[in-house]
Amino acid sequence: MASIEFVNVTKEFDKKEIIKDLNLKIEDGTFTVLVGPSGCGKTTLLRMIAGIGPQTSGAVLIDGKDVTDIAPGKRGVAMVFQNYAIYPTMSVRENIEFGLKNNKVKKAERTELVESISAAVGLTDFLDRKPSTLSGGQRQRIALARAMVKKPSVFLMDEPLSNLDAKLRAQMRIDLIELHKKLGTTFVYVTHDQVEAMSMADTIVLMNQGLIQQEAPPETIYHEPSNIFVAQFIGVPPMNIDELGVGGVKFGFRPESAIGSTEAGTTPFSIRGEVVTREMLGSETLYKINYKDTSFMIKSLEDRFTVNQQVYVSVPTEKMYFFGEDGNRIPTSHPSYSSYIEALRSY
Amino acid sequence: MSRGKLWEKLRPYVMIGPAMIGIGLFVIYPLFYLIYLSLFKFNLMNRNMSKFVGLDNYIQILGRQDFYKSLTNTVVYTAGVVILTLALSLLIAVWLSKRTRVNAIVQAGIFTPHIISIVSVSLIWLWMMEPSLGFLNYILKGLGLPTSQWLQSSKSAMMSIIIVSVWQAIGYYTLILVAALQGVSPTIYEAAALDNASKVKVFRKITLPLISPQLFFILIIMTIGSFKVFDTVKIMTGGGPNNATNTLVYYIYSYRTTNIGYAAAAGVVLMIIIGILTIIYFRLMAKKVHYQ
Amino acid sequence: MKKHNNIWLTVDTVLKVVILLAFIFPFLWMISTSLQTLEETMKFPPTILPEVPQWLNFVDAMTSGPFATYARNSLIVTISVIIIQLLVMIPAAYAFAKYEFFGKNVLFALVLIAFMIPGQLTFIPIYLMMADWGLIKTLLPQILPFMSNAFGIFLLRQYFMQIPEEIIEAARLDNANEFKIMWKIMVPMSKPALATVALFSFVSHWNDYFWPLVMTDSNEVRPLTLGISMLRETEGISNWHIIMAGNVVLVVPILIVYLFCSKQIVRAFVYSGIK
Repeated sequence: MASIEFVNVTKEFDKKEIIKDLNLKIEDGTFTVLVGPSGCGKTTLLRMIAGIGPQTSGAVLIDGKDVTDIAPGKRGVAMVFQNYAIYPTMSVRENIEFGLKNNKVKKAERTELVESISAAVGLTDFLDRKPSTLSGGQRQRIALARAMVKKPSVFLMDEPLSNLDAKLRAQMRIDLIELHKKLGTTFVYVTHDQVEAMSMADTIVLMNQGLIQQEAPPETIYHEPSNIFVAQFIGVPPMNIDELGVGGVKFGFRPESAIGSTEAGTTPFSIRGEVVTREMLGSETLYKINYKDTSFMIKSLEDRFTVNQQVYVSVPTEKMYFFGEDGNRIPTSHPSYSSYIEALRSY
Repeated sequence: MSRGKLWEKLRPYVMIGPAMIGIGLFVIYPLFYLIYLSLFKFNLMNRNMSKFVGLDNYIQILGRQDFYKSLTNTVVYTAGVVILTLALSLLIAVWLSKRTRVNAIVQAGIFTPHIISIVSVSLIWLWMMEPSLGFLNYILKGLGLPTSQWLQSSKSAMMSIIIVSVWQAIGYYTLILVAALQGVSPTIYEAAALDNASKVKVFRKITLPLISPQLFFILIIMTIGSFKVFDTVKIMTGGGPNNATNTLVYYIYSYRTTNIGYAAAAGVVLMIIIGILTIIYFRLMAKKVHYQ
Repeated sequence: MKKHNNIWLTVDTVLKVVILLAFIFPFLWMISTSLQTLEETMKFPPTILPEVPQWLNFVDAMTSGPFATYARNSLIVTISVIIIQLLVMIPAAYAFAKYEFFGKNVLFALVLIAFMIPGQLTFIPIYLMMADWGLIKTLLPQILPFMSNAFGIFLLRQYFMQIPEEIIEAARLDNANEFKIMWKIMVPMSKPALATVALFSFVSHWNDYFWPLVMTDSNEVRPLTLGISMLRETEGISNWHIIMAGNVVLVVPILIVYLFCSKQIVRAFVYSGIK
């Protein structure tokens, strides 16, 4: 078990700064998900922890110890790669065993470990097969077993589910949560998929362009986004945002916070618009509402409106967000907060 | 710097070390040594008697009839081999380009001579081309055609050597061209068929341009390869009759013990020719990489 | 229409048989001659099949010179060249494919240049070097100059470059050192390329005539190709049945290898031409 710390870390590729002066502490035993759009530097951070893509400057600490000069194989970390990186010429058993052999683990102990781990991930029947004869899900399990068997103090995963089909992915999410609970070790998980981040993480680290946008548990990220980027990255469809018309301030609300009705609402934000599209998703329905020269998405549990219908959209005041000119969220304690609420009436 | 870091810096050089030593010692250094030797009247028995003569060897070369003869012979040989091999292997490749069992067998068959030692090939053809007892004249007689003296007449010796080289090389170049032809996407032919193009037109306007990179490669590789012709000449004619088949490398070879400086100078001339061809080759390769 | 097609098909097949014969018959002719008597070879029109196969021709050919020595030399040279080339080539190709280091491009350009320089240019200086080192009476002049196989380094590098970086990184995380990564992961994954290079080397060195000719001056170090080519001098120019018997001995090992791995050999040669 181990905590991880980045201290003033910078990373350059071809003289271009990908990550600049980053500080982050990942607590021991957490399931931390690094999430963000592609190119945001999340994989770069993961590779620094593993030691396979060292930082240009700054330090990476594992359990308080600077690991900059420690070889990848000696850091006590294991990694599951996006394309699994299975050794194609080795059997499943040899794949799982390879790290143990390199660490000079005795044969009897090795066999026992391989058998117990492969039983845990359901590979027992395939141990002597070549990976090329197995399915994508099974290869995924080899990669997982190969990481687990080393009993690492840090588990690194780089988009491990992105090559699986949707059904298997949902199953694996649950499996990973259970695995984390069982092992209790630090998990660092990289993904661009906010659903994966929300569903599995203890702590989400949301990144964009090499900078950490917010570091918080999923609930906080969802309810108290620190800026427009976070607000729009998390949630499907993303938060509706528009100009308030006062001092460059923007307001926003989530589609699922809006209430659609055939009668006018009483909240400060209440508008009348026209339904342009309707997407029936099963348990809920998405509407795109045109209002003046803009449009909002709203999500409703009931399927009551039809296209071209005129509807009223209102949003409870406590579910309204305001963002300053710099994009940061304006807290409710801000002196002008109530004036912004009032401004909504004239929107 | 720590020891580990230093080793990490040095490791690549250690890994390529043996290979680079081999190349340096047996390719690069000998080239300079060759140039050095060409400036001397070299005495093999007593090195101390060797004398620096500057460009004398080159001046001598440029004034000697037998050198020009061997150079001309080499050019004639190269032109003959390259043109015949290219034309025939292209013809056969187009003919055999469909993926069928029969075609695969024929391809493997005509490729066989290429993996057989030039010694065997030369000896077999020497016997086949024997003027009074050989199989070739027997066939010609049977068909009512005039027989030939083949390797034993200065008129037909070069032609005979060209025939043997072409015979040995065709299978190889056919394979390369078949691979190139099969690499052309069939949808292009289907589109051409829908456009009602004739077969000749499809070949000239579509197939030929698409395999032209490979054709150029073959052209250059064959030209370089032909300039170094030696084995067939050595075994079948010994450069004769009457120097009719004396080629550049054979010329160098024949002076290798008696006049090393002179042989080295002739070697440098060959090096320049091959160098020019190689530059063309790399230019083409860079272009090909660029287009892909 | 159908009939028309049939005629073409027949013409096509007949032509293919003729072509095939043009390339195979000389070898059959060699075998036939090797089993004939001297009298049979002297007949015109030629004898197609010997009346009684003269197996003793092979004994005659093989006892006309130190053929056991020639064969041993051929084997030693060919096998050592292949082994040394593989040992030299694998780390070099790995370094060129997966490491960044100062001077890499220049050094790799040297490899490409070496690929283009034929032995016909360098044989005189190399002979003098070997003589200076006192190696002319050994097999080393036929082995050492081929230690770096430029084509092999080039081909294997291409192959290594296609192996995903993640597999190497996974191995590093599995605490494998670079040596282990090379031998346990890269090499097993590159077997086809290695087989290609090895086969190509085998064929070209077993068959080689020019290099041993210019590097040797005694029978103790000569290979089979030279021994066979000298049959004409030792056995007389017109003893074709003996010369062909010797020739059969030289051809058969290659033909056997070709029969068993024609696919790989064909691929090896096509590769060497295109890449």
